[in-house]
Amino acid sequence: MHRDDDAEIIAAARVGFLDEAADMLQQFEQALLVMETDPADAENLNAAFRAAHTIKGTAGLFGCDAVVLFTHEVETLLEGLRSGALPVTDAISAALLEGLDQMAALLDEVRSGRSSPAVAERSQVLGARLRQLYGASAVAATPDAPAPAGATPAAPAAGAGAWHLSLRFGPDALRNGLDPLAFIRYLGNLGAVTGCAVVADDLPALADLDAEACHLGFELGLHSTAGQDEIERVFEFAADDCSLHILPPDADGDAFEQLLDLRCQGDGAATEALLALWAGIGVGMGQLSQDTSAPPAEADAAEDEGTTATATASAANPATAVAVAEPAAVPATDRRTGRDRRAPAEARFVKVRADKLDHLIDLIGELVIAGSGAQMVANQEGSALFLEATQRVSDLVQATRDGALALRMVPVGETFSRFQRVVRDTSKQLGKEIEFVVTGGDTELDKSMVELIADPLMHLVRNSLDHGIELPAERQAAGKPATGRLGINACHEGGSIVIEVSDDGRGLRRDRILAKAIERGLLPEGAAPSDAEVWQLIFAPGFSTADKVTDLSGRGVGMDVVKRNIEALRGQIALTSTEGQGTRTQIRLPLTLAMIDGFLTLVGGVHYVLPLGVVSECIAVPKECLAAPTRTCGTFDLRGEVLPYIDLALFYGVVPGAATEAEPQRRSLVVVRDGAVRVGLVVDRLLGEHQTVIKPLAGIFRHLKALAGSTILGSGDVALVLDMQGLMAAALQAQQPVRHAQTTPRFALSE
Amino acid sequence: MTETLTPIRGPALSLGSELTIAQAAQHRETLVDAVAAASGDLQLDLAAVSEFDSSGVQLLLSARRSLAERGHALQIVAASAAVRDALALFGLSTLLDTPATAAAAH
Repeated sequence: MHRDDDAEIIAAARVGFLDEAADMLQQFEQALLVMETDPADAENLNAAFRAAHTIKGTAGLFGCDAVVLFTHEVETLLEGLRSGALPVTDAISAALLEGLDQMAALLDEVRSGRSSPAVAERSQVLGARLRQLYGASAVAATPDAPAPAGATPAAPAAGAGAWHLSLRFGPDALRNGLDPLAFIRYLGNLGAVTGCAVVADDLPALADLDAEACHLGFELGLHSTAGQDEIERVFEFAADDCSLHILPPDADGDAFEQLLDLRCQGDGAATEALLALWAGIGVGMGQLSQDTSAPPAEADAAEDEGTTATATASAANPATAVAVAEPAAVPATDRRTGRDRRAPAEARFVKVRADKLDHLIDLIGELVIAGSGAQMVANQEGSALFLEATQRVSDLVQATRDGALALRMVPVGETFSRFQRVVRDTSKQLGKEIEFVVTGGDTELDKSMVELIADPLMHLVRNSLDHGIELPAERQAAGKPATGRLGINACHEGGSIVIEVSDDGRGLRRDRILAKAIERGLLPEGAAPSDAEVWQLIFAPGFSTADKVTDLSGRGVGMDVVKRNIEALRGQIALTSTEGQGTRTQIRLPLTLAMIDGFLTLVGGVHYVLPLGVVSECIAVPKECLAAPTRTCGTFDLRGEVLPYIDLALFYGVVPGAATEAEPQRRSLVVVRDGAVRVGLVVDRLLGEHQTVIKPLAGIFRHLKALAGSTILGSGDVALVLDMQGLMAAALQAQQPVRHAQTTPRFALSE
Repeated sequence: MTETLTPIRGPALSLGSELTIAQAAQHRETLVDAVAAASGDLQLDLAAVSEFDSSGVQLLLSARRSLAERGHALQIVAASAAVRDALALFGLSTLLDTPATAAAAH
């Protein structure tokens, strides 16, 4: 293999390592935050330890010594917590969180390839602090002191029993950072290791030894009150590299015989050797029946089925199945469930490169287009069978499309969990007591969207933290509980996802906002807008950034940016607030950016697609519009309500279709709804529902107003996808000049 | 990573302060050479070992096996606390028992 190839492979693996490390850091952070609230959660401590351990292990493979050295300190401290030698204290969890940040900083250095002396120095300082924390509290208990054979701990409690553990480590165990020594040492925390025998039959002589591979197995006696679960958990994260067999204290001779067969595969010499080892650690021969060589049929069966198929092997021999299957099969299944519990995220997911997925979705987009082409041909041919066939195909294509889009869906909870740290840090910093409640974290959203909403959401969360929720004293004075509540909730609603950030803080001061708006000329003097309109003012560009001294609870700062970001995702944002009670911000987003269910229309020979979700109704063009055929925008009366309209033909400067001029009554008006705002769009013809794959417009079309992209129709024609937000904005703006000509009130944000 | 190995010809071979997976491959080389060169029992001085893991235990066991194939024994003439603890935990304290023939090795 060429050196270049090697370098390439290593570079690719390195990227994988950094990705994995980022995931691990997130899991680590999560576990640390849980630890703060529930220090007794042993499983959680294990998770934290595992995450740190994995980072250290892989960093070692890539020679990132700075990461390894520092993570080692973190891991040591965690090990102390995990073994119960150290209590979880505020100082420790704070130091661990700082350690986490430092690990992230070190990994960033690996990523960028630049290292700064400041970071290295911080490693030193923080490392020393972690060591000191470990040393300071570890005086009482000595986790490192093993309980060697014979050293009886405080008299075993009632119910303690003699467990037998049989371990065989896989060749990669050491390379994966799993040191059998550490496991056996750790077992000392569960009870007393009454005997240990090393099985080194497979250990080659020096000349043939791969010194980094593990060739060791162990037979252990453990005197402990722990249950099987607890013992298995010790080895949980070594499950891939270690074959573990546990015999409970009440295991009978048959169970031991079964274990002999499993480990020795009917090999007489090996059986003898293992029996000798057992004798050495006090597994009495009395526990074994006389016939130690076991029925040959059973041994053969075990061999055929492979080493771990204990239950199957015994089932093949019904004579012994009853006695043997129970004790032997239980650990096997338990271990499997144990593994599932261990890492739901690793075991059940396949990592796929995002570009491969994008390519697949592109292809399916083409398939949708080709499918509608076929359907059109079928329509023209008028063949019933052909039509039926294309209908079936198009149903399947639709299901495939939904399935492919679902592949990109990830739970939003991951994004939410990163706020937890912000909430923790900010509340400590500001002296506030805040309970952070996440609901609906399982709600799924397109991966690309998840990344894009993280920032706007962070902004909302920060606003609530900084300006919404009051200090404990202030809250109590207002008759509210001292602990504030910041909630974030996600749910699906129709084809959208709705994410809500709410707090029970001081809320917005309506009068202040109104005064400010009037002062800035956003509203005329003496205007009496509805609440919804007032809250919308918050999103006006630069609304409160201009005047920082205002104590408008800072809500407006940067809200226009948030709104812009959300709208760029074809989403909507709305805010409600009650002074003194709190604020609730609601974001509504489409589930994906790649495809929409569209509504196809024709204007002057050009196809336009509207998102189906915004279409509220279609009516014949009202007489107000017909009365002013040259006016691009105007207002019309919809069952007593005045709504603005846009004539798309005039708006886009296309000549309305000839047929339209001949029979103007065939034109239609589509009423679209965007949040609380409704607008009418005058089009030439309605063509109905259409699966739309959105393709971005090339740069030269960027100046075009109110277009979100393009799509290709089954006929091969290009259709333009309308950008509702842009169109609405244009409609509302264009309405201003006609203000004087009309007498009707037309405040844009009417209900 | 580059712990210098000093194969002392004479009384006892020392393997430096770390006997872990990081140096396992290097130590193996050293031991292979030492076993090949040894005319009798091989003496190891592990007094300086502060870091010791299962790969170290494995090396010692493997060396013992290689020596046994040649009719020789492995003698650990000195061992640090780290080595003693680990071997005790593994039930391998007998490795530390210097065979009676130690004096006769040379």
